[in-house]
Amino acid sequence: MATSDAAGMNGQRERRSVPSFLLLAFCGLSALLLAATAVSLFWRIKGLTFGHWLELFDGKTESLAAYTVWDVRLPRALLALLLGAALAAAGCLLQGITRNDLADPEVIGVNQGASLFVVLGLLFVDTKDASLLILLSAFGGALLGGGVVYLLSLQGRYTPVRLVLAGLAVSFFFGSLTTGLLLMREATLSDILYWMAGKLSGANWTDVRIGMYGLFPAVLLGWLLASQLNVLALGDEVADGLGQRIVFIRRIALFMASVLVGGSVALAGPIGFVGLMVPHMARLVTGPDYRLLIPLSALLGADLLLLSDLAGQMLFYPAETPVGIITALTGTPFFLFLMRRKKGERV
Amino acid sequence: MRSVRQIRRRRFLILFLAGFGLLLLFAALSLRFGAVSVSLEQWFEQWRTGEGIVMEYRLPRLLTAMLVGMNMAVAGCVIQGVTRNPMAAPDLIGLNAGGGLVIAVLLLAIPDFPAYTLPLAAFGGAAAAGGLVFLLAHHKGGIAPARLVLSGVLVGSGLQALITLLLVKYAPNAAQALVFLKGSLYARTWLHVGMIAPWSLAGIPLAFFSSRVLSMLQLGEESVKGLGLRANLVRLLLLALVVALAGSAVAVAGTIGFVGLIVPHLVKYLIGPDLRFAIPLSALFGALLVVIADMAGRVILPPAEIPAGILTAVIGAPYFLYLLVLRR
Repeated sequence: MATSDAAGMNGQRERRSVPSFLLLAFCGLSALLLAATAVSLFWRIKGLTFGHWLELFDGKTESLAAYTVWDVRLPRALLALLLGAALAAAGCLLQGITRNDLADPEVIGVNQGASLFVVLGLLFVDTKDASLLILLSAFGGALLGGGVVYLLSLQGRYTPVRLVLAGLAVSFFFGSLTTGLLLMREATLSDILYWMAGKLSGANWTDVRIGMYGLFPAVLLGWLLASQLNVLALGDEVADGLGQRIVFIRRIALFMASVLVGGSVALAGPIGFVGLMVPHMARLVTGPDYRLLIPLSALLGADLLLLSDLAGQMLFYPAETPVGIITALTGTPFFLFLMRRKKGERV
Repeated sequence: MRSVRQIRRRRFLILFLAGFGLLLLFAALSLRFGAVSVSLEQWFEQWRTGEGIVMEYRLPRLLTAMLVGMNMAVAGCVIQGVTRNPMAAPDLIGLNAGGGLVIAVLLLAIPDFPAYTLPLAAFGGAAAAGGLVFLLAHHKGGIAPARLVLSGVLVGSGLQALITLLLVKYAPNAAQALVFLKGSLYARTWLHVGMIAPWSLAGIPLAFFSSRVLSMLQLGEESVKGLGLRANLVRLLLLALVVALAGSAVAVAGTIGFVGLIVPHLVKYLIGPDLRFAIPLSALFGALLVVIADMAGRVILPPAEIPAGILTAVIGAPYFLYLLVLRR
C-alpha cells in the first residue's frame, strides 16, 4: 500500500498547480484532435483544390471528392476517435480493477477472447445479420477473457508481472484456438486475418452509430465509477472499511470494460496496447485520480488511435497497414520500458 | 545411495524404452495416415522403390518433426538449467520470434536464398533477440524468472507484429502467412531434413556431454566458483548452444511453441532433476510430442490441416498458466 499512499501525497502536493495545467492539456489535446481529424479527412484527395474545398461544405454530395470525405474518410476518423476513447477508458478500468498498471485488453486476454468468439460465431452460426452476431459474440468473448483474468487477480498474491504473464497465457490459448478454427475454413481466411490484425478501413456510418450509441455511454458510465475506483486503489482492507461493496464495484467495472473492449473488437478487430499506453501518459498530467484520469485518457486515446491510423495509411501508401500493427509496434517497447522502470517492485 | 541410483537408472531405462516404443508406433502411424490412405502393400512397395507419397512426403516430414521436437525440448532443458528458471523456454524468451523475423525478411527479400544458410540466419536473429531480452530483464545483477519471461514474451510479440506487417504487405496469400506464423510441418522435404539434421546431430550430444557442467551450475554462485568453473564463459557457451538448437528448428518449421517448456517439466517429473537422464529423455519425448501433434493436425479434419504449433500451444498455454498460478 506504500505506493498508493505515496501517489496520494504526490497528488496532494501537485493539486494547486493542477487545474491550469490540466486545462492546458485538455485544450492542447482537443486542438490536436481537430487537426488530426482535418488531416485524415482531406489528406491525399485527387483534384481537391481550394475552390472545391469550399464546395464540400455546400451540402452538395454528388462529387467524388465529397463522397470520399463524407462517406469514407469521416466515418473512419470518427470510428477511430470513438474506439480510441473506448479502449483507453477500458484500460483505465482494467488497471483499476486489477490494481495493476501493466493491464491492457490485449495483454490480459480480453481481445483474444473476443476474437475467438467472433470467429466461432461466424463459423458456426448461420445468420443474415452478421454485424449483430459479431457484436454479441465479441462482447461475450470479452467478458469471458476478462472474467478469467478477474478470477486470477482475485487470488491477490500476484505481483503485477505474474498476473500479466497469466493473462498472456490466456491470450496464447485463445489465439491458438482462433487460428486453428480459421485454418479449417480457408475460404474466408484472408478477410478475417486482416480483421484480426485490427483495422479501421471500410468503416461506415452504421459502425459509427453503433459506436456512438453503444460505446460512448459506456465511457461515460465508466467515468461515473471513477470515485469508486479511487477508493478501490487504496487497497481491499481500506475500501472495505470505508463501506465500499468491493466485489460489486469490481464486477460492474469489469462489465463496463468488457462492453468497451467487446464493442471495439466487433467494430475494428483487436487493437492492442492503446489501453496500456494512454492511461500512463495521462497519469503524468492528472496524477492517480480516476475522476480526471478517465476523461483525459479518453481524449488522449482518441488522439492516439487517430494518429496511428493515419500513420498506418501513410506508411506504405497506397497499401494500408492495419492500425493494430502500428499500435503493437509502438506499444511493446512502451510496455518493456514500463516494466524496466518498475525497479523497486519484486517480480 | 547406491540403490537410489540403481532405481533411477532402471527407471530411465524403462522410460527410454517406453518412449522409444511410442515414438516408433506413432512414426509408423504417421507414415500410414494422412489425406491419402496408403495400404500396407503399397507402403512396402514404396519403401522398396524409394518413390511415392510415403518416401517423398511423409518420411521427410516425420523426420523434420522429430528433429524439431528434439531440438526444442533439449534447448528448453538446457536453458531452464542455465537460467535456473523453470519458466524459461526458447519460444518464451523470444528466440523463435527473432529467428522468424530474420527468416521472413530473407524469404521475402531474396526468394532463391541458398537453403542451407537459413539456419545460420535464424541463429543470428535468435541470438540478437535473446541478447535483447536478457539485457532488458537484467536488473541489479540478477534476472528474476518472471521478468525474463515477460520481457521475452513482449519482445516476441513486438517482433511478431513486425512479421505480420511484412506478411500483410508482401505475402502472396494469407494462408501461407498464417501457417508460417503458427509453426507447421506442412510440405517439408528432404531439403529441410538436411537443413536441420547437422545442427541436431551436433547440438544434442553436446548438450548431453555438458550435463555435468550444467548440473554444477545449479549449485549457486558460491559453489560454482569454489569448483573452479568459469561460470560466465560456460553460461555463454550453453546459451549459444540453445540459440543454435532453437534457431535451426525455427528455420525449418516456424514457431512450434511450448515444446521446450512442457517436455523438460514432464521428464523431470518422471525421472528427477538429474540432467544426464533428463536431456536424452527430453529429446525423445520432444520428438514424440511434435510427431503426435503433427499427426493429429492432419487426422482431425482432413483435408484441412491444423499446424502442429497450434496443437502444442493449446496444450502448452494452460500448462504455463498452471505453472504461474498454482506452483510457487
